Amino acid sequence: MPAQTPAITPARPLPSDLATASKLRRRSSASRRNRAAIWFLAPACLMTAVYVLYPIFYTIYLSFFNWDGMMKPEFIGLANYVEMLHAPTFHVALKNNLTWLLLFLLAPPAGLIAALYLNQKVRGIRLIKTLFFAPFVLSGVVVGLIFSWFYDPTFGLLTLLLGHGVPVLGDPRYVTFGIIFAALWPQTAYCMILFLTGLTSINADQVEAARMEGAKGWSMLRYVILPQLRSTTFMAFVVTIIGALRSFDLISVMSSGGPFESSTVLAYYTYDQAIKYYRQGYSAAIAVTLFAIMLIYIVYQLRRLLRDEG
Amino acid sequence: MKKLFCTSLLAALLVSALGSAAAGTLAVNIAYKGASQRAVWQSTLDEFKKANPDVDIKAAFVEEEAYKVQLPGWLSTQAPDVINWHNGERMAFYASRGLLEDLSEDWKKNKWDEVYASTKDASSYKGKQYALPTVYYSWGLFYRKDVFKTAGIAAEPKTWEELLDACNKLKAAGVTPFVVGGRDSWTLAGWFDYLDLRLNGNVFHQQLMAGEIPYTDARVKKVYTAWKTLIDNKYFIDNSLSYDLDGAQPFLFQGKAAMMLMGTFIAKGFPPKLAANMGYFQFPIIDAKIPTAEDGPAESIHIPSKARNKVDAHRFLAFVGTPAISAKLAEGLGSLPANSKSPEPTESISRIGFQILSNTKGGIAQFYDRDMTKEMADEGMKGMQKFISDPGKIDEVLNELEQSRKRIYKKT
Repeated sequence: MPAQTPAITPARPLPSDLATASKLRRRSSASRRNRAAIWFLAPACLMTAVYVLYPIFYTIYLSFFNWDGMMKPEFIGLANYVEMLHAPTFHVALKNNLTWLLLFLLAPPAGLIAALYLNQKVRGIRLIKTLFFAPFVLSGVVVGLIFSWFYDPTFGLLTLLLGHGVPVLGDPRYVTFGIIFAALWPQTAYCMILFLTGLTSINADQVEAARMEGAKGWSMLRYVILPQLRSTTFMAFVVTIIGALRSFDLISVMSSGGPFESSTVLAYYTYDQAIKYYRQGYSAAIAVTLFAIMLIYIVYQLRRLLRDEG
Repeated sequence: MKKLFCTSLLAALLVSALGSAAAGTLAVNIAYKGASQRAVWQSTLDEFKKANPDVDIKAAFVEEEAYKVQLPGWLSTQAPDVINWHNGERMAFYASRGLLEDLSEDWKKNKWDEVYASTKDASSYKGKQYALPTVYYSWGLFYRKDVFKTAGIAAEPKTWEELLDACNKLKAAGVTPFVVGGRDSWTLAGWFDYLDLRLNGNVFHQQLMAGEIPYTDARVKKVYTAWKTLIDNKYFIDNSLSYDLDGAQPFLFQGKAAMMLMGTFIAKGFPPKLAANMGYFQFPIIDAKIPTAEDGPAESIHIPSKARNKVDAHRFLAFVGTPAISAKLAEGLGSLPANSKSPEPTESISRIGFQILSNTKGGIAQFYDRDMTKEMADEGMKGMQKFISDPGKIDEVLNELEQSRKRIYKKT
């Protein structure tokens, strides 16, 4: 963005330069147009600068300080990062983030299957579509509460189904999986919507032609449908991966990162350190780490996309 | 030119707004849980207004969890004139940063030294007072009277043997003796506090809280071993780590469990039908040689050092520090008045709590996470959860706690 600025704000012409008056007029109308463009862009740029860029850079800056949010910040260099790398909770959080990442990748295929199933013209399919769509509009807190009740080892539905209680949210071995399973529910619905939209834009002639050639079932899906859904699939994966990395609300509602921090993730760890222990600098260091992980991944994906498009 | 005019007008408005705010407006921020707590604070503010018509009150009620998050922001920037909070370590955190007003003069002037003698220590940081205690509450065992009767338990257990005997009878009757909502780790800390206070006494307990005793000490292990016996005998509900305090109570209400160790503040929330059926008794004596000490955490109000209307804030504190107001707050909050001149509570559970605390010989503790630094308390409570999920890991848990103690208290 800043690189373009000189081009749209041309140098002010000297008033004494009367010979080039017509040129000046032409240029001034162009510059007026440019100025209008700047005015239209300005609010968005300002918002991005204030609410996105400034916080990012400030967080990075803050991560080199020891600050309780009240007294004067104290510069401590990389000490926050050093401490973080030695903190057992950081490693637990990182491992859980990885588990989230891997298991969350089930959402796009599951969403695709649901979308293929719902993309039929049958009586009553609208109602079924609505039911599949429902979890997506629920807030994470509601999903978390519903699943907490479902998992309750004494009064919950799961206990009724199994005949005995399993402390899904009270056992460090199961808790992360329990929360991921709950989170997959709305995420699958989200991917399903993406794929349903993708399916409506599929070229019907091609499908017809393929059918004439004798393609059906798996070969039809593999060689005709999926290639046309490429951009949708890409979107579904990117959204899901970012969703997995910034998972927070369900953890907060269902386990608060417990028991004994076994289900915490980087985003929750950041929150915990800043809000509970007033360690803004340390918390910023964790946030920067999470940001870096996301950035590396996004840059990798974007480069791959650009290469493919090119 | 026009811009300049606008700016100066805005500035003038701001200055006059601030100026008028300083003259006789008292900003009070109150943390509350539930409508009844809010109502009692509101009526206290109304009464203060009636007694001091020259003061305008600007009250902000904030739900407790949100309050905890916002408080540091207020204290370090635009502070209200009065806040409510907890004393002990929670208060010291802000007092040590110079964010709370020194109230030592008020303590002398209002004779609080006499009426708040038992909570003076918890209200002090480095010999100066920064808090006015409002209410405190007692901890003990809540139990179902009817369940005790059907299990054939004649009287409330007074000693450890009687308690274990009652547990056996309850088990035989098919009822789990204790419910604990271990997802809220502080509910477990209540158990640690009481076992430690009864087995090792308050002096040891306070040294441990202050980080002066290693967690690998045999006396700490003794506490966990006693606790493990209860767990191994299946005296606690299964999967207690799956329940928070709210989730744990239905066990009591449905008669699946008989007892719960908790503070009296919870009594206000029992279903009206069951309230008459709920009894409350002191945590039994384990070692008769050790003077009984109790948990009695106090709530308090403070003046931030950045408050703008300190004159009226001091007046408000003096008003709340009267026996009548203290008693009224206590009743509304389901607690006990911190003011010793207040009339005794009338409601039965509060009365038992009052007896327990006034008869203590070993002193009053503020509760696990208010007696030590928050970070160590959280490590300790995480350790308890780890211990509950696998009681065989006592040594591992205690070794880890010892590592944390060395790091947090900078011991080598």
